[in-house]
Amino acid sequence: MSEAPVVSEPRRRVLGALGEAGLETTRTVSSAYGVFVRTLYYLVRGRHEPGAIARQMYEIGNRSLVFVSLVMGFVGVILVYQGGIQTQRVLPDLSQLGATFLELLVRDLAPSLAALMVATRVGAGIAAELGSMAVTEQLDALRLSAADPVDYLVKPRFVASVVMLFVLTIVSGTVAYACGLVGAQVFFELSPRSFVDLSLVDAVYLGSGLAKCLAYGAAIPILSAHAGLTAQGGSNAVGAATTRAVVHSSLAVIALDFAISFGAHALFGDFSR
Amino acid sequence: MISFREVSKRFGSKVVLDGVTFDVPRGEISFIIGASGAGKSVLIKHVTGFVRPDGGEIWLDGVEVSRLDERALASVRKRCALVFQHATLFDSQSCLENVALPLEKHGRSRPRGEILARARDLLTRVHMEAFADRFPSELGEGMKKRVAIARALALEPEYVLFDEPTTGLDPVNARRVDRLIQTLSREGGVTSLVVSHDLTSIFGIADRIVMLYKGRVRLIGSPDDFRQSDDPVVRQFVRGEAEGPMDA
Repeated sequence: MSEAPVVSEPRRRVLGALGEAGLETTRTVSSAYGVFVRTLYYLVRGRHEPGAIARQMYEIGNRSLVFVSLVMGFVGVILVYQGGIQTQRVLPDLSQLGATFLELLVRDLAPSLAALMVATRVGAGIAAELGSMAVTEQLDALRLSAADPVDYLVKPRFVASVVMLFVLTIVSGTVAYACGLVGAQVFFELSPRSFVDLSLVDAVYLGSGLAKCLAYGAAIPILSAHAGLTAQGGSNAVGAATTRAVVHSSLAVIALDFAISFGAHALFGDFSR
Repeated sequence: MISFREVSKRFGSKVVLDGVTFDVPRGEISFIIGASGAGKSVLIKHVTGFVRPDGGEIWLDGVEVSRLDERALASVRKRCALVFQHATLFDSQSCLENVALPLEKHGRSRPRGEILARARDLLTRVHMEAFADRFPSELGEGMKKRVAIARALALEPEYVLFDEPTTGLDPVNARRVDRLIQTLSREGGVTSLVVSHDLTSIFGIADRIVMLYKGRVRLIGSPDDFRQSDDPVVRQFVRGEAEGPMDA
């Protein structure tokens, strides 16, 4: 009879920890998916509350606008400056700097960076608000009032986030491009006429950028709300939920960025020229 | 009638309820008493399905609540309201909107004006009509509790579960809440199940008292049964003595 392989204690512990982490991740993803499905259900069957959605659009969109635009403005200048320096090391021609920068913004940077900032500002806010409602039994009080917290609290945030992430991406992307334009003129004396060049942006890039906006706009409120809804305990649970919301939302943005970029590449091939 | 049958519940290694069995007769005011951490709040949350038992059954007028899914629990929660220990009013809504919420969610076809009028009536019932447009953050604890009671009564429940309704209130407000519970029972025929430590409330308005100790029912009886009990645990609790057989 063959003997079972002997696994050393430290290895067993590592494998156990990995297994536990894997199970926990599976549970979280499955539970967050449940919140997503219920949100979609209530979008169709739930009560229509335009006032609640408008309030959330203001919270998520208007109140993030300055923060996101400011960061994107700096990112625009930094990227054009660094990109210009790198380019000059290879060839002295900066005529493609504006076109390449715009391509990068449309395809990836504008939606992804805006989403990462929304994940920190809005995701933390959603998790803290819902988390404190969970630990003070306000969510149970809602259920007693026949109001499903997903319909009443998550749905307005979901709709507002999807809509406002588009708006924030367009506005902050424009700010980044404008700041890049100024940077190009100051650092490299590149005229606005040479910088503004739409030739590298095509429908696939635009579609890929818009798909990212939609995916991020949906993922951030769902993951953040899920972190808040599942908070249990006292004020430390609210803090933990806030941290979880930011970590999960940021990870989701990066993972979705990879998945959509990879999907676009697989569907449309190497569309870079 | 609410019936608890051999209800058991544990959180991790801590056994909170260990085979609790008793009935809550209709129309009466029943109190659940016991030391802090005895599982009183956990027990009443089983009735509304917020906590599921590990073992045993909870029956509400012939329906076994512990087996119902979330959708089926909605009808239980309409008939059986719960007033939480903390008022749990929604901070972003005025008192009137807080009370109107269950009416809106349950009566979607009712005109808004009618719903608000009914919500005002409920606030008048708890003497809070003057504060209808105030937000919870502008109210004291006693006022918040009264608004929470008005909200709990919005759907005209047959049963109301109160989780420490007088905790944190001054004596005057505490007695007002007691009077409200009594009025609901005597005039409205509402069955009340109250979790409390407040001996004045317990001996002032209870028809029946259930004492939990170490996860089990220690004694069920009238206030007089408790006053006259020879059980040292019961005696220590009702006299509020620091020394005795009860664990610290």
